[in-house]
Order: sequence, then C-alpha cells, then structure tokens
Amino acid sequence: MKRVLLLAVWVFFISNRVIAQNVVGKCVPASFGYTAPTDRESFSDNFGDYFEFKNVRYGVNTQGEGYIGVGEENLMVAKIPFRDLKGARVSLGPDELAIGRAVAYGSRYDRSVVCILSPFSGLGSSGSFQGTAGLIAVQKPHGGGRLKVEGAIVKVR
Amino acid sequence: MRLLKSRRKGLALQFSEAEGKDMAYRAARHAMAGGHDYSNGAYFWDGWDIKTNYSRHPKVKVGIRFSDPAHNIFGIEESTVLVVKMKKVKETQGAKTTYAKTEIGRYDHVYVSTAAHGGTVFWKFNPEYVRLERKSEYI
Repeated sequence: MKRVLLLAVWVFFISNRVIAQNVVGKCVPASFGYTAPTDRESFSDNFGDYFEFKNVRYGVNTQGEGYIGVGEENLMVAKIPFRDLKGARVSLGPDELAIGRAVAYGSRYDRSVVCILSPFSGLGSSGSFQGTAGLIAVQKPHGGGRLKVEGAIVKVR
Repeated sequence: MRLLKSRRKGLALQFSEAEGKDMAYRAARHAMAGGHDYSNGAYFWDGWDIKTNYSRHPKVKVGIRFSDPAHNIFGIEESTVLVVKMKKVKETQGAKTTYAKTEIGRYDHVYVSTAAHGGTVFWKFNPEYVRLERKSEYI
C-alpha cells in the first residue's frame, strides 16, 4: 500500500513537470507506436529536406540542422526550449535529434497541436533501449495568435 | 530479502552491460587499428529490445531490412515504409505563387543489417536513403 502511494506521488510530480509546459503536455504520453507504417512523401527544397504533417514541416536544413516550419516561419531545433526528464531546462544541439526519422501525430487533447517524436541521432542504438526520445509540440497559430513550440526529453511507451 | 535480490540482479545487469560495452569498445579499437571489423561497416546496433518493443521501436517505424537472413537472430519481421522523395520548386507568375513537385526517387527502409553477433544486430543506413535525404552515413 505504502509503495503504491509513493509511486502515485512520484508519477504525479514527474508528469506535472512535463504538463507544466502548456503545449508539450498535450503530447504525452509519447509513443512511436501511435503512427501506422503508411506510405508518405518527403520533400526537398532550397532550405532542406523535410516531412509534412498537418501543414507542420519537420526535417533538416542544408547544413544538417534540425528545424520545424509552419507557413513562412522556420524555427531551428537548437532554439527550442527543452525540459529534461527531471524538468530542468536544457538546450539541444542543432543535430542532436534525428528529426528526419521522427514520427508525427496529432494531440489527443488539442486539435491545433502537432506532436513530433524524434529519436536521438548518432551512433549506436540512439537511445531506443533507454526508452527516451525528444518530443516537440507545435501549436499552430489561430486567430492571429503566435506559433508556440516546446520541447521535452521524455520516456516513450 | 526481495530488495536484496533485486539489488543483486541490478548489479549483475550493470556488470553484464559494462562487460558488453567494454567488448564493443575493444572490437571498435581493433577495427580502427586495421583489424577485422566484426560489425561489417555498421554504425548502429540493437539488442533484445527490438524484439520486445517491436511495434513501438523507432527503427522499425522507419523500415528495417535484413541483407542476410542469418542476421535475423531475434526472428522479427522486416518492416517497410515507402517514402516518395519529391523536389519542391516555388514558381511565381505575377502575384500567383505555386509549388511544382517532381519525384526524384523512393526508398522503403532506412536501416539495412550488416552483421549479427551474440545478442546484437548491427545496421547501417540504406544507401538510397543516404543519397535521397542527403544524409551522412552515421547521423
């Protein structure tokens, strides 16, 4: 009983740290399993190579730096504020996420939010056996609002 | 008692992981010193989690293929996700802007196996993926 209570308190605090971020909280729990393996199109233009999901672009520019794009706006991954597993602020390097191999899905809680779940880049198993990944939540502007982008390093299901 | 048992199990796991890592480093140093590369040119690897977490594994989600059936030590299925690569060009005629799309190629898997040893499968990128997505071979 005591153990269950402790676990509940722990889960409450950990999940609150992610949910404290307004937008990225709408993308948890995160899982690579949400997307079905369907055929898709990848685009290449003067800015870089990217995929598109509900008018949100995600990919790498010609220098190999990850970015998110909506409309005319492009935001580099290195500029996105991330929270780590403990809720502390971190910034990721421009090529730390393998965003070209990310999956995208819509938030269950908010139709205007697109979630991009990306494995880490680099050699080895890219964090898959630790079960962690980079999650980027994009809230598209509506009614003249601003584009909101938040990131978190999350445990994936 | 149970706590002691799980602590012992954790330590054993830590020890075996450290041993595996040590072996991987030794193998990498051996290959870089001009010796035999047991991974056969791999940059990536996976252990048992690719079987136990198959439907939610990031590599499976982008496509895996075994170049040799002997590499399939976990008895998992290959996965394919067809990606059609399009070149997008902006065309402006007066005040009207349109985008023309032209197909430049396609690939249906990102990872291709190179070897398998013990409980590890080794992978490299599909060369077609590297070419079309303008990737380096290891990032």
